[in-house]
Amino acid sequence: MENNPGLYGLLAEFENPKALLQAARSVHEAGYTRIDAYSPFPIEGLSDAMGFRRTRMPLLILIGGVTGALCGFGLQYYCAVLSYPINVAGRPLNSWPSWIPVTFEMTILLASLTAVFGLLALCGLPMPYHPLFNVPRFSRATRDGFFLCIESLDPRFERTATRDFLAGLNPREVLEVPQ
Amino acid sequence: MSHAITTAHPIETDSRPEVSAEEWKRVRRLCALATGAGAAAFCLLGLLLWMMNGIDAPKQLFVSYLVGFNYWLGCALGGLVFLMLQYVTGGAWGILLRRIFEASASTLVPLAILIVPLIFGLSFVYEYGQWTPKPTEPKLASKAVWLSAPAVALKAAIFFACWNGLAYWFRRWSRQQDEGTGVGTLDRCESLGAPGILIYALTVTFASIDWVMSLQPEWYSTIFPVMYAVGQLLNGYAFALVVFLLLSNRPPFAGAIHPAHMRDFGSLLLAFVMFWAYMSFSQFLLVWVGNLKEEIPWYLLRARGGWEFVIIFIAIFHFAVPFLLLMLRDVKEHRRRLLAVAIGLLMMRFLDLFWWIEPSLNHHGQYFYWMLDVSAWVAIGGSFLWWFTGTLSNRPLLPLKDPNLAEALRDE
Repeated sequence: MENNPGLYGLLAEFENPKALLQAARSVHEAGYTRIDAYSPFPIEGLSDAMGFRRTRMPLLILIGGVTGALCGFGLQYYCAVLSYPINVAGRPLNSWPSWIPVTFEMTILLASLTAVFGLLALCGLPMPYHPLFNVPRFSRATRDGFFLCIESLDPRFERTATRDFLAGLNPREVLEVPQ
Repeated sequence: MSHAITTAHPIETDSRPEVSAEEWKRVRRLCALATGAGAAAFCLLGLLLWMMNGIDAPKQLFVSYLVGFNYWLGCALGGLVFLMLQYVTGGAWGILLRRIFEASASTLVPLAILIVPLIFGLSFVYEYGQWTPKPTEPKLASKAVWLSAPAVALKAAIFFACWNGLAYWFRRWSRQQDEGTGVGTLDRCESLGAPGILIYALTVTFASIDWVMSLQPEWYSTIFPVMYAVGQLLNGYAFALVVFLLLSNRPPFAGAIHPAHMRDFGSLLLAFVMFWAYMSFSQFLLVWVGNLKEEIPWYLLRARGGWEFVIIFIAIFHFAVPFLLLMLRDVKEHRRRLLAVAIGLLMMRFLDLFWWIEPSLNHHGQYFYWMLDVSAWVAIGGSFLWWFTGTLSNRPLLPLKDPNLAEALRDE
């Protein structure tokens, strides 16, 4: 890895989602790993094209869901069997079928809360400062700009070679992103 | 991970040639053979078990036939509903499976003939299925007329007329689309789709009451028709998915399917597994909590004398296992794994129907009657598949003239 003081990475802007998708594919195939793409709307297949496939989210959500199920069932079991057992129309104290709806709701609740907050945490949000904000054009990523950034921390990053490589992907322009 | 599969590459590279006319013929010969063998086994076993005084003949024969008939009716009607659903909602999955759904729906023609033996058996199978309404206490008098054999036969004729009518028009318009002879055929299909689904919802409600719920005429459940319909949808979709996956390594599907398609197929199957579980559990929960003497006998019959193990087996293999497997991308994206899950679910559909229908009969401690159910299932299934493959092999496997086809096959 080269030392590039003051350089966060190189940002290429593309005309449309299709060009961005193709560029992402080429960059991934060229072996770059510290990359990210920015667009105003979700582009199907973009994360696959960049080689982002496995994240920790499903596991986290599963853990959240299982915790919710255990809490939901446990709460009802504690109330009805341990803490305040009363006989309702001769039904068993552990009337598990009638506890399934609450258990189910709790599973969904904790799984979805884990999904929302886990996503924010893993993405490092909220993030008030990001080097990309130094590029004025980057504000168009929320309107009509399609960007691909290769970070200088990438093991394959070389200031000129990477710049030439990005320029060969038919971008609108390639910009340097200061740290 | 750098070795990730990207959507740029279609799945399955070991593509084989298109299914030839010769292969279709061989498959259809096998279906005809299955029909014959199943029917012969059904007759021989029926005779044998009857002579051994092991079964309640002829009631048992008709009930076994009813299990097999309901199973394949589910495949056919599930196909019809999904055909209408994909016209209404759109989406790549629907276009890829359309011809298979159409072929499933076309089997409503032979099924309309295959219900005739059951009509003759009404008076044996159903308490109220007499040709002249049975005199009964005033409270149940209206039920006795509604469930009497002439009424049930008339209703069955109406149901099959509706279903076959829908299947006929959808296939006619899509044929016109293929031949380029109709104007606005896709629009017509899309406009018939929504009312068609309503017609199905109404007819299947009454059909499920007539054919399955009235096996225990004193019992009623308002969730039951929904449970029955969801079972049919799952049955029809899993069947279409199995056929599709068997054909998917051959043209025109090979090379056209991408992991995103496979994920959609798997997720839709997951949705219907959950829908089925939701309905089945809702009915159980309400009946169990209510514990009323009009309602609870249905579950008491189905939770004793060995049936309790069937319930646990169904809960595990009709819900828990496929539910967990279908959440995994590694299952949904792999042809063989998804195929295994879908085939497993098709088998569980049979067990679920078996568990609904058979316990309403007193088997006098005999248990070999399940062989009758299986042979009836094979016999009806053989004729179902014979007709199905005949329709499917008749036309291109993809709707080539559909304006949305290119969009459905795009790889990004």
